[in-house]
Amino acid sequence: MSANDDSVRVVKWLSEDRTPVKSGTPICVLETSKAIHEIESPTDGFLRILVDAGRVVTTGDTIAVIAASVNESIPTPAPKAGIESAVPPTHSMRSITAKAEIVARSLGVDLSRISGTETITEEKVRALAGRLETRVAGKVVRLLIFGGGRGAVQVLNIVRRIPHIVPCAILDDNQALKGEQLMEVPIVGAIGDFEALMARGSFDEAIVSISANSDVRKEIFDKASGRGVKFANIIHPNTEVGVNVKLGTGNVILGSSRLAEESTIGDNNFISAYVNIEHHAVVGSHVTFGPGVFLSGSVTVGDGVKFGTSIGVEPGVRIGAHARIGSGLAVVSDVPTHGVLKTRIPTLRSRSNEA
Amino acid sequence: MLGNPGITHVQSLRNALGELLEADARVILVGEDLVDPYGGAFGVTRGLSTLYPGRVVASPISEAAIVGVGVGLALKGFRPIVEIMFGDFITLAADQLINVAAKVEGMYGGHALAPVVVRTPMGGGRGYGPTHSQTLDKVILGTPGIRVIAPSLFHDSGALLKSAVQADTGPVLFSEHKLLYGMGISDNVDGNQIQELPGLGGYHTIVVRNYDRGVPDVGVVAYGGASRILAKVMVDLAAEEIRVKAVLPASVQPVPENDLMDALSDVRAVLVLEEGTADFGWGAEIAARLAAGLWPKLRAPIARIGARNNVIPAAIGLEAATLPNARGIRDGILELVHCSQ
Amino acid sequence: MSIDNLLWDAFRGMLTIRVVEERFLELFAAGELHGTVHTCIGQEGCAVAVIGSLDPERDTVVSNHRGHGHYLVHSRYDLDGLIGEVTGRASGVSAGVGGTQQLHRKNFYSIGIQGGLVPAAVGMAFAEKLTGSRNVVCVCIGDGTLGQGVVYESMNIASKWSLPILFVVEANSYAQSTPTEVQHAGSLVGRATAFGIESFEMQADDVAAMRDRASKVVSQMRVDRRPVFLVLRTYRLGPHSKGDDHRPKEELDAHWARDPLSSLRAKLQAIDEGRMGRTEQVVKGEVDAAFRRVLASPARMGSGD
Repeated sequence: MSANDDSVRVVKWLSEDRTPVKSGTPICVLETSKAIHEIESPTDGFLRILVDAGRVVTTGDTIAVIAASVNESIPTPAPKAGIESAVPPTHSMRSITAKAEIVARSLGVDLSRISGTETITEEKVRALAGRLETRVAGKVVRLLIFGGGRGAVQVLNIVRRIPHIVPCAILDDNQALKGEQLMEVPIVGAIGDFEALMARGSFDEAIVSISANSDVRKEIFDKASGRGVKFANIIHPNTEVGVNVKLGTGNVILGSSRLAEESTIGDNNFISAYVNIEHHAVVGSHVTFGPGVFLSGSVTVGDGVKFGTSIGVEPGVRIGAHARIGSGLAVVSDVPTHGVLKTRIPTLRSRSNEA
Repeated sequence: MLGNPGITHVQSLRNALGELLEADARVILVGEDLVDPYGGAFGVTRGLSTLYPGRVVASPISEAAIVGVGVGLALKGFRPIVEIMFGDFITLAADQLINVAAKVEGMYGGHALAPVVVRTPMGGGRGYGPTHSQTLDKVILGTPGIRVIAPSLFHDSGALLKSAVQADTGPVLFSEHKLLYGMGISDNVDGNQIQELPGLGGYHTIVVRNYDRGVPDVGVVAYGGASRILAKVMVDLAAEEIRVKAVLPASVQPVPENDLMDALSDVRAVLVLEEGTADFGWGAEIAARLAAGLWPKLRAPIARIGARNNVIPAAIGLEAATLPNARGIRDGILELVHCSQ
Repeated sequence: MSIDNLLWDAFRGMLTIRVVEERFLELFAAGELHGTVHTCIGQEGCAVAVIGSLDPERDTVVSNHRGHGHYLVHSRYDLDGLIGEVTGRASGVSAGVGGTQQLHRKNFYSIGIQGGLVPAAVGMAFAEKLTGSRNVVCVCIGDGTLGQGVVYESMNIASKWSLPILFVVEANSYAQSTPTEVQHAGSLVGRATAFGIESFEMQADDVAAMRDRASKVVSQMRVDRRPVFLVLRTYRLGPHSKGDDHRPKEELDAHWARDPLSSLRAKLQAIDEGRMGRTEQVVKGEVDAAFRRVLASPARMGSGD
């Protein structure tokens, strides 16, 4: 067995407690991180089981004794304050439910990373593994994320709360990131590698996580969808989507936002938190919004527009494609294509300038 | 037939027998040592021979004749309930059960019926030894033309017995369990949720869950006395976050397949549990049917637990290691949960 | 009725049974029938005498693998039902399912397990007693059946509970291939008297004597509801089933020479040759017609018929 293993799982006993066993007969099956092992009895005698099947033990623990007689009194090992898990000795001992232990093993979760002293439950294990309650039969969506920066963190934060969407890989053109993990999701290559992944069937749907650069968003989206990649909408569960909202694909919408009834959103938009898109508003594609943007009813926004933060747009205003709207503005009249509305930066006066 | 918590299985059976004797003049009881003051080896008939003189008949030690006489009475329009003192002794009546009772309706072209109910206690756990502890339902299982009905811990035994006597037109082997007699119906199972499914022919299937919400980790199909150990294991496993859904048919044969499939539709791993030996047993039949019906959903092969393939020893410690026990059932469930992740 | 009429009736019944049984054996030999058959050739008088002393509407007869004679007498010669059953027709008395050894019609039941229905017969007698009827149950077994334990369980209960059941043992000297004396220790009637059951033993070559005894026993039984054990010393002239006969030729010849049917035939022929001729002709005609009728109908096949 590997000398590197701190812990080992007792899979099953091949003989009943108190039955006679012969030297060399397999009596037990153990599972390490690498393999399954059959353990043979070291001697003739009566098997006295000390650890139940299913339990995980630390290397060095006694799991059974081969006794000379069937009723020999066997001292039970001092219980380790409720431990049955793979916790290395440097950490404090805590109890764990059998289910949590099984799930941890199956997901490869390192239990020492769960903080606290109360009983480790299945929910804690799964939360650590980045997934919540188990698969709904048949409906898992494996998500590929374009971009491994802060936008990806925001996307992963949303996806963590959506049971059937499982992030499977991240692509980023920064080669230094390749092989790393972001929130336990592997970064496997550059943006262009999506074709190889698609050919292998490694993902179901994709999302562009880049939040600010709308040109790059568009470029990636167009290229990938042109090759047949299906894009998901990643919407925070507490964002309200009203009746008859028309939504394209590839949109990221952060928390506490609102798409009101009868509004229309295109593809590949990045919408931050606290964005309100009022009824009958129409937003095109590849638009980026900072937090706190309020579009009133029947506002139209063309493709590729970029909004700063804390912006209000009055009803019916039309904002042309590729316009830039600076932070803190009230947009009360139409903005032409490529139009730029600059933020008014207040002047900071020193005391000596006051009259 | 969700039981009346507070009365024991033996009380329920006794009450039912009394009600049957009272209400239906065709009902007659025949068996060894049934009359008062003894009232049956397990006390099931105590008091009845006094209340209903001539309707509770003590027979000689003649298991074959007891069943055969039951068949004859039934052919002549009576509703006999005969008792075989220990389930181990049904072998003495095997010819009467298999070649006569079970075949009357079929071999006579549907022109004769033999509605005889044969009651007997199966099961071990008291150290009664190899010839007084078995679960021998399988001697009869697979014989067409005879039902095998077994109340679980949660079933109202008396209500099931009434169904067998009043509603059935053919022979019934009513397989009780010695260790359920003294237990209250649905005893000691705080924390488990109980639900009833229709079953077949008035013999309900009961579903027991040790959780409120969510998807079960494991489905366990079991019947009869094994349910009492399973119930306790389920309470313990609830604290370990292992969600177990137990499906307990009263109809051992025929199999209420619709109930099993419906109840197990949200399950991805199944354990079949019985007190009889696992080899060639009821569990093998259930596992084969469930494998066919649940195939796409299962994440692990169906597991079976039964008694080990030996005689049942008399020494109580050896007996505990031979019959399915709490540790073995718990280990089996945990292993199955592990394999089906 | 007068002894003469009784004898003519008996002869007619015995001949009917004989002709039917021989015809079955012919059909089997010709390969036209499936399964097996256990003919009662040589024992017809037992059926005619004993079953003939019962009231088929109220009394129950439980028979065995060699039960065609019993069936025919009890059913008042339901030839079509019997032939249909043995030849696998839907019109067979057990719908073609039970076959030759499992016949059932109204109060008649037979089974091919040795002693298999004996306890049920006792149960039926118990039922008669509980309902207060004056009906009796007659269960017919062979000497070989006295090897089965369940027969003794049944006799014990019948006597202890005082039940109106007549155990008729057609002791035909053989159980399949094994002579009676090789199988049974002690006496046959002694088995029943040990249980306090009144027992009789007689030769089966005199159908009138058997009828007389059976009638008296049955009348008494309707009154006192006590069981009775009646051993009839007869002989199986035919094979156990078909073709399985290794008995010595001299033994068989000797018994054929004493065939009760032939003896009765000779006796009656001497009284009225013309009537004998007509009787034989009628019987053969009826049996032929029945076989023709039944064999013309379709045999039962698998699902869909």
